[in-house]
Amino acid sequence: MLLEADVHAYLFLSFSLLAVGVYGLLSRRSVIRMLFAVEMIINAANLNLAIFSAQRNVDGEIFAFFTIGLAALEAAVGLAIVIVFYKRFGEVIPSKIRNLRW
Amino acid sequence: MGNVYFWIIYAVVIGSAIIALEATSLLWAAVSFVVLLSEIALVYFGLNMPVLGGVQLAIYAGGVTILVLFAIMMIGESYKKPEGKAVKAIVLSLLLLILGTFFSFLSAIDTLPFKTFSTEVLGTVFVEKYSFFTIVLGFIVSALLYMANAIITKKREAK
Amino acid sequence: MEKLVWITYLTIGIFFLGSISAFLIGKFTERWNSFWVAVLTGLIGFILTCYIALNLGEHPIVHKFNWFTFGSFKIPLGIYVDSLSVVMALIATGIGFLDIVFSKGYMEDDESPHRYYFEKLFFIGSMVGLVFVSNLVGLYIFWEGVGLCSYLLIGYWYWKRSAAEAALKAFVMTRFGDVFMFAGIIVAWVLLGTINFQELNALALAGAFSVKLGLLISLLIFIGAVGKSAQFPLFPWLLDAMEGPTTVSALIHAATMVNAGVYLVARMFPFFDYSHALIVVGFVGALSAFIAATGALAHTEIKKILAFSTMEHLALMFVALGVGSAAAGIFHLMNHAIFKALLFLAAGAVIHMTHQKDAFKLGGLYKYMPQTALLFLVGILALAGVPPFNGFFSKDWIIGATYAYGNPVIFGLTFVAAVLCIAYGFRLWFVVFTGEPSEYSKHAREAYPIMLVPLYVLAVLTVVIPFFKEQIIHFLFGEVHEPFFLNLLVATLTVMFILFGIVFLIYYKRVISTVKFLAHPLGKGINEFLYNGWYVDAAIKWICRHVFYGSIAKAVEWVDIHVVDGAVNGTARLSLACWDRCRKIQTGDVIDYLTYFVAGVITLVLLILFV
Repeated sequence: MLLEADVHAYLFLSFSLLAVGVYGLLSRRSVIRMLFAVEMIINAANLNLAIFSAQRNVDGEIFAFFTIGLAALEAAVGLAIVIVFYKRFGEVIPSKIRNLRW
Repeated sequence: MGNVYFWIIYAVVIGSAIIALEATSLLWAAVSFVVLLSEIALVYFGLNMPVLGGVQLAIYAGGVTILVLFAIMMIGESYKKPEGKAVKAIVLSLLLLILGTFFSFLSAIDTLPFKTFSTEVLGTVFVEKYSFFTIVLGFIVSALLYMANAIITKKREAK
Repeated sequence: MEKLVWITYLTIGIFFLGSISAFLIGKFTERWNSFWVAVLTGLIGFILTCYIALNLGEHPIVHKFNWFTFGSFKIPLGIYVDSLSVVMALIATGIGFLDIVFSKGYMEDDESPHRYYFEKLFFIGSMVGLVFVSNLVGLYIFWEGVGLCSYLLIGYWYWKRSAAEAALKAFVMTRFGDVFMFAGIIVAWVLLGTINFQELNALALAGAFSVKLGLLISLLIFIGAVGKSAQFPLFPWLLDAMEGPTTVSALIHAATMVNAGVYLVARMFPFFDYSHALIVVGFVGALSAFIAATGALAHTEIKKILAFSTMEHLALMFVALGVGSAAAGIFHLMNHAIFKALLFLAAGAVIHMTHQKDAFKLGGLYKYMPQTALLFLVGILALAGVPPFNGFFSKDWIIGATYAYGNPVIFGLTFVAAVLCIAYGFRLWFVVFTGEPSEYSKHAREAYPIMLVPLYVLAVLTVVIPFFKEQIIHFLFGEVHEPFFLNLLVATLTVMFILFGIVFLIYYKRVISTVKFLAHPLGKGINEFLYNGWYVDAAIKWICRHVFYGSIAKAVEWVDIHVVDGAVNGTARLSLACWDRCRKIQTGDVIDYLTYFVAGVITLVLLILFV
């Protein structure tokens, strides 16, 4: 048994990843790094699905496939947006672009 | 609780995640991100889900990373130290972590038997069936990384 | 009888119809065409009124209908035409017709005669309606109608600030009285159950309600009459109303509208009698007569002297009613309408030819407009109550009736006021028509024939009416006992003669000079006091400013600003403050939004798990 852990440990891994993702999402000012953080969060969710799938049945695993596909799409669109963003504003720091302000 | 390997994987996952966020060079951040995704694929393998792990490697460590690299290529590498409102973020993320762990222990999720699989068997299967695929993929990724680095360096020198 | 009912309605309606058609015809064709429509309407109206008067038998014309109904609540309307109404209507239509004819000359330079004739015919129609309706609600409608026309016609030259202000003043002041009158109508309707004049009078004659209630209703209605008839203390509007065209003053503010108050009291005479309200009417009338007569003695503008005189004669009518002699009051009303219309129209001719309203800036006009001067003299003689003219008969009757009544205060004030007529009348005539011609007088010329004809008609009437005195009184009131005191008559005539002598010496012969008197502070003060109508206007202004505005309105304003507006503005300020704080959340920074989002997720999780 190379890798042996109970569900709490796996969930702790998942939550840690989620925490790091949230930390990155909230603290980074570069769009690309925020995308990294989003991917981390999605992976944390995926891990959760896989863990519970291992515990019960195959549903979560199948759902994780969809999530991966969706995440890939999201990354593609997000990076396209990043490029447009860069062309439009000359930088990729969303905090400086305050068009959404009141 | 898991064994020492699990905690090694844990440390690699979280460490690479933090490096992906904190690294000064965006390119090395991307590399660290690839490591993170690969480690998660390893966790999937450890959970006896080889197909999911493969897809994770293919789509995440392959496709998404390539996209990220291209984006970095288009934008240009940044060496700026990433800044941000760290305190709020740390507090919130720690809160999430504590809450999640607390509730995971509070809940009844461990009443069901948790299936653990022998990674030895898994490793045998992996080496037998997917080693070639993984090696080829790894080469391709390495080549792409190298090319991307080369192109970016050239561009910077040209400027 | 049915036919007469329809003719009565037609008489009221034809003026309103005529007013609208005069306006439209004047508007869409040649403007002065409205004059011919007005003349035609006035003539037809007058003929119809004459027809009603001639065919009115012993019984009045009565017709009733419901104006509108809310369930069991019905508002009745109807007509009640008796001899009193007919005489009032004859005055309104007859003098109205003459006035319309006269206006052709007086308003010759006017830009919008169609508007003028529209308002004038509307006024006559309202006046005829006022005297023909059978109950207080109908009367109130037409009462406001004549008030509206008065307002419009005073402010006819609306571009003159003084005229616009005078119109507003007249409107507000008469409306002040009307509010009380309206309250009286409501009280009568609620507590007595009827608003019909005849029913109210019948109730009063039967003694069906308490005297106190009757007194309340009578006084409330009388305040309305005071406002409309320009008695103390609501008379200053009448003086300011002279800003309007003189023809308007002649018709509305001398001959007809201001008589509406007298008519109302006469119409409800038994009611007032039963309620012991007549003594109030008498006192108010006597005081007003005295104020007006002394004011006329001091004033210098032709029209305002005549306005004071109008007020005085209306007050004399109220005195006559107050002392219980309705016949004298109504007879004087009729005579006064005729000679005051004559005086005002003649004054209008003078003003039109000289463009000067101040009597003391004129002089020697007899040489330039002898016919007008003689007609004016006829009016003055009738006004003063010199024997062959109609004013003498009615005024003497009023003095006699007051004497017979026996109240020394009322008699004293009335007597002084009545004899002072000759003083201010001849003072005016001497000042305007004799002496050295001033620069204004020199380019005056005789009035146009179209202006002189109505004057002649009225002048002839002042002489003719006394011959038919008995018939008129009989037509109006049946058999009436007229008190006659030879001593009083002799005394009155003697005092009048002495006053005439004094005025003759001062203003014609100019042997006695008033300069010294006016130079003395006391004399100057008295003159100012009388000139300003005993400062009643200033007192009203003071009360309005310091009592109504200074305390009540200020308090209401404070409540309005700090409570009502405060609540509204406070709500706005509160939401603004909330918004001002909340908008700080909307930084536009995506990361901030994400922070809120994560915090919200955590909160939601906590909520779901712990709540």
